[in-house]
Amino acid sequence: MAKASWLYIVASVPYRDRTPSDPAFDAIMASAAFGQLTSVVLTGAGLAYLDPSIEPPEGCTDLRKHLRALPLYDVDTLYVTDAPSGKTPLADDLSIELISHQAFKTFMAEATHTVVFP
Amino acid sequence: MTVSILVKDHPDRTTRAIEFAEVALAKGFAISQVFFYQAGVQHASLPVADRWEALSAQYGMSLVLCSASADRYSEEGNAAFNIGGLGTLVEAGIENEKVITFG
Repeated sequence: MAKASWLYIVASVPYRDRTPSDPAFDAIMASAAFGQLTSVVLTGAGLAYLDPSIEPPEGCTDLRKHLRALPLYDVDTLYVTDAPSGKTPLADDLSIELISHQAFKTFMAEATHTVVFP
Repeated sequence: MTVSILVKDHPDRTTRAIEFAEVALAKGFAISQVFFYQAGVQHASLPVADRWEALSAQYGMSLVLCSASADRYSEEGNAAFNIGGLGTLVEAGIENEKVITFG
């Protein structure tokens, strides 16, 4: 299958919609499952995805499990615009990389498609 | 240029999606698919649906409602608006040069 590069920018808090699944992570996992080059940037309120203390509301999938599953989809790095303040729920094989504003702009310029979850 | 469109929010907050599509198609751009995600699926049941259907009939682009989002917002689809999975969006991203997002 041909490949495109998808950049997902997640800037909203986890569980915002209180839906059983997470729209941002559903899209991320769909493109990765189709073998697409998939990059994820957590920024602003989206950095809360890395807070291990946030429990899923009743009926919602635990997004910490989704995060830990990302390496299975060949997403090995999560990019963040601010360093997380404490321990994260990530697996050892998923690293966090702090990117500069300039690097963020470069990511957007180089991606075939950019999808923002504000 | 060939593009597909992703619409992620309620029609009141994404009116530019249909406006963009109408102008782009009139100017000769090819839009293969419009994928409606999250609250965007409500485009299928509000007055703007007629404009999407007219564009689809005239230019042959497909209109796809995300199946999970359609469930959440009780949209059933119709002859013009088909139900599909996120894989449909990914395929459109592979086949087109750009996916343009509204919402």
